[in-house]
Amino acid sequence: MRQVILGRIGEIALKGLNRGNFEKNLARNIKESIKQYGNAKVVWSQSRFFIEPEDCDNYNYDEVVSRLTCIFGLVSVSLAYELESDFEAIKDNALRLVKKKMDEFAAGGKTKVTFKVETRRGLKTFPMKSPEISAEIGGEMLEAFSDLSVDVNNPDFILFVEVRENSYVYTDIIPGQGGMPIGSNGKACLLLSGGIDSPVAGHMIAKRGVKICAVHFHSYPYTSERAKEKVVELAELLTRYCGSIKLMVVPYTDVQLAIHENCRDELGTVIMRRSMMRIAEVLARKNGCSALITGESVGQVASQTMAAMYCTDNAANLPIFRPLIGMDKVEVIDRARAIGTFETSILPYEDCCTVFTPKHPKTKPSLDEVLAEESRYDFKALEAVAIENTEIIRVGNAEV
Amino acid sequence: MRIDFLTLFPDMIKASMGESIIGRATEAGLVDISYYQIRDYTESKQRKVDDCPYGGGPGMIMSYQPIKSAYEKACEDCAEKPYVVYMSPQGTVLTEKVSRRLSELPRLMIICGHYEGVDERVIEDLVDEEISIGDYVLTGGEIPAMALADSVARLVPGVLCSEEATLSESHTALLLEYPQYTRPAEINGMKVPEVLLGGNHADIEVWRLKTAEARTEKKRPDLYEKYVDSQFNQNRAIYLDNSATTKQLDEVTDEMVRVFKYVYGNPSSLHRLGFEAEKELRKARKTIASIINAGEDEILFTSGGTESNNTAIKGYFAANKRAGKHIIVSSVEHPSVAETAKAMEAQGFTVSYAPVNKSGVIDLEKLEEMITPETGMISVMLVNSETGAIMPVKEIAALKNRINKNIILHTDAVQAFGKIKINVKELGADMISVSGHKIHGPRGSGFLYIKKGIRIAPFMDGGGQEKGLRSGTENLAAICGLAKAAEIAETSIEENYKNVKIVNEALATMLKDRLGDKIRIITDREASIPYILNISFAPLRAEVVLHSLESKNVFVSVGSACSSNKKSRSPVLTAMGIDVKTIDGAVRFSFSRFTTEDDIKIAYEAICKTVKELKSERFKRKV
Repeated sequence: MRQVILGRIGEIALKGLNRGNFEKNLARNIKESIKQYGNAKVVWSQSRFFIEPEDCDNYNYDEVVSRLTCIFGLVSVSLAYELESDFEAIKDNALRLVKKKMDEFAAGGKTKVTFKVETRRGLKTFPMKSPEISAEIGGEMLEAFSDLSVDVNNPDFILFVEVRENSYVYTDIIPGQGGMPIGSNGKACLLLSGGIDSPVAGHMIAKRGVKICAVHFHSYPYTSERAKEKVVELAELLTRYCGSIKLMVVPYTDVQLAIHENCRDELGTVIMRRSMMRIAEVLARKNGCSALITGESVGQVASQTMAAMYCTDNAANLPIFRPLIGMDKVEVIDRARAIGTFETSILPYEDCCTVFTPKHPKTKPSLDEVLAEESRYDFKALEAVAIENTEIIRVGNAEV
Repeated sequence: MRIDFLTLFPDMIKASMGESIIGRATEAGLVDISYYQIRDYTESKQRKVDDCPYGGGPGMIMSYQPIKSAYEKACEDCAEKPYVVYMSPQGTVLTEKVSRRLSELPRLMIICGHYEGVDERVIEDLVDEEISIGDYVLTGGEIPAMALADSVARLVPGVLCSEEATLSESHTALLLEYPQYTRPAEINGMKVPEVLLGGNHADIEVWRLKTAEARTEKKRPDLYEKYVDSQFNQNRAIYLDNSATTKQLDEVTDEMVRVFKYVYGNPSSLHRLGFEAEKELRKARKTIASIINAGEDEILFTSGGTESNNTAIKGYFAANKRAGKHIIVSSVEHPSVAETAKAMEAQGFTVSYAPVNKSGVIDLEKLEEMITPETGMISVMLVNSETGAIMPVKEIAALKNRINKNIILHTDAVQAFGKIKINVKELGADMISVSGHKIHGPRGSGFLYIKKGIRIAPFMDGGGQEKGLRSGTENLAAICGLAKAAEIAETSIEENYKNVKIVNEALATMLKDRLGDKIRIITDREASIPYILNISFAPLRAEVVLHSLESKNVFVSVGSACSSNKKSRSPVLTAMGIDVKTIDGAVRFSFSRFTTEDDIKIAYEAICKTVKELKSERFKRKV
């Protein structure tokens, strides 16, 4: 008997001939993200991943479980006892688990507890059938704990029994991220501003198995060193899900000044967005990315109207993914809270100076007038300099 | 370069100097080495070179005469005056820096002692410098002399194959060598670091520096400390934000370390260690008291300005329930007074905010009008933290004494203490707040002067320290550091004031001359202390100027922070009736007695550059 961690896959299981590649990719990501906790074997069979630590006695299971809930590709994880497929062994460990569960409820002030047993039997040579196992184990539990009763519809907890080559008993299924393993769906470049939206957008696309690199536009001295530090911190928070991130900080002040000095104020923001897309596209292609990601949503601010986005899209050839496009601010905030970026996002270092923000930006710019206004200055040259001087910061160590 | 050895064993040295790199350098004529056998110059018939020491003791001492004669012969041989070094464990320890200095000399003469040493008069008469190669004793000076000569000779230009070899080491003179590898790339599983096998020189440089730093930190913490220090000094910051905080004096740090290490007892303990701590505490209190001409029992040590201000105002009214419930504060107080007044307002007190004039100085007439029979306290800062304006606290004291002696006068002297003389008897304030870290003392230190007879209620109850006014074990190291800092500031307070005035004048004048209308000096320098100079760069935004200056290593502060959501404009400048645009461009330069004219020149250049960069429409398309 020993403790192992079970991981379940969702969508990957539906894959056809290349399913193996996805599984290998996921296994690699899992290994990489938990290697700091000590040696453990990662094996899989039939939509199940098993994490088997070498030194079970000193393994920090709780930490590892919580780490695994951040890995894209795993739908859920459970901490389970792995034992021989033998009724007595199953019963003994089930007793132990239920005891622990009862203690937990008791600590919370609840003494009368309901439960049910759910059994799966993969090992067809096992002498009992699934319903029999459930009934027998359930009976043993009821005998052992007088405060326990059965409720098959709405139990306080479920005791899971899986009979395979080895058997597994566990009580909790902790939901994971779902999605696809990072690296299985190419690479994209996230425009990371330091606000609430962009980290969420990055997380959503990464969840689909996309490796992320990030671009930040820095306007020193119009914004401070702290603003940059905040973006690094946000990227750091994302690495928990996305693995290491290459963060590219573009010195953007000169371009911004040039726009400010040459273009009509009300079009400034759209022209700036276009310029950012051009720069991001160059950096994205350099890094083998096949899309850009932004945190825009329709109508949130003047530069995110459909007309403005049409003008912005026109500046880049790569597809621009906007996963938040139909979300309300509150929904985005909820997601930001869930992934743990919200608190950092609202630190007040962004937009230190509002010098460049026009009072009344045009909400429905036409592409023609934007292009005409943009042609007043050769921004491409300044953008090339900015790209040349881009600072690269590697965030996170894990090579996922 | 010429090197002479005066020794009893020239063959010993010849053997090593004749080989390898130094040998080749000698052949190439880069280094010219001469040997003088001291024994050849003795006038003694027995060819004696040594004798017994006067006063007895073991061993023999080398005599003066043979060495002196050998020295004279060497001087005859070559006209260049030699720099004479005597190898001795008593000397300064040989470091790369010393070698570098000596390698620049045209001629170096090394005297090697033997036996118990040389007659002291040899050193007095002939020797320029004594050098040691470490804290251990050898049988003679020859081996150290070889070490010295080798380390000096290799620095002579041309001796090493490439200049670079010495140069690249000079950058890292305070660091140990980084690890070196040569072929093969792997030995029994021991691999050469990946980065060295790739050809990226920039990466290799970074790796080498990092590993060198890491191993120096681990193996030679003493060296590493020097290295960090030198790095720090290289990127010298022009720190003009001394009203925010100051760099702690080394003397203060030393004093605190002394207390931490040796006076760790609790002043309340009955035993000797406690008594020693109590003595230190009393000493510090005495120092502070005498500086402001107060009694020792009038000093309450606190954690700094904010606590002092809170204690003065809240503590007074808590203890004096029958005092008038009207407080007058100036409209330009530090938040620790302004917000405390607000908190009192919430408790049912009335607070009046006395206006200031254009110079930022409180208006005495308006203040007088505000005083009512209900007035219990007036709190006016001695020096304003944003403009440097000096408030007429003495006059306020006279005024309130004329109207109602029972009114308590509190003054926040955080920006004044250590910069202008404060004599409590002359000033006439009943309570005075002071902070340590504004005068190069430790953070978390400060005091409140409370005139004898004024009752204060404590915030914290407990062990009854500080006469029951501030329970909790005293922060003795900080208190002693504060006393030290105050003492040092006091000794040259007038001279410092003059020097800072020069620095202030220089910056103001240069900026005005060069930038003219582009700036507006907000500080009325006639009415202010020279430690603070507030200048507006409107229409430039102060925060942008700050960040731009910071990129040029000049550090200042701004009174107003602007953000997209909320404008927080300086209430001080607003109270002075300055327009919004000017306030948004206001930058505070605050000096310390360590600000030099050189600093100011650098700052001036940086400011001019910043203004030029931010003002110019560099990218404006020419129409």
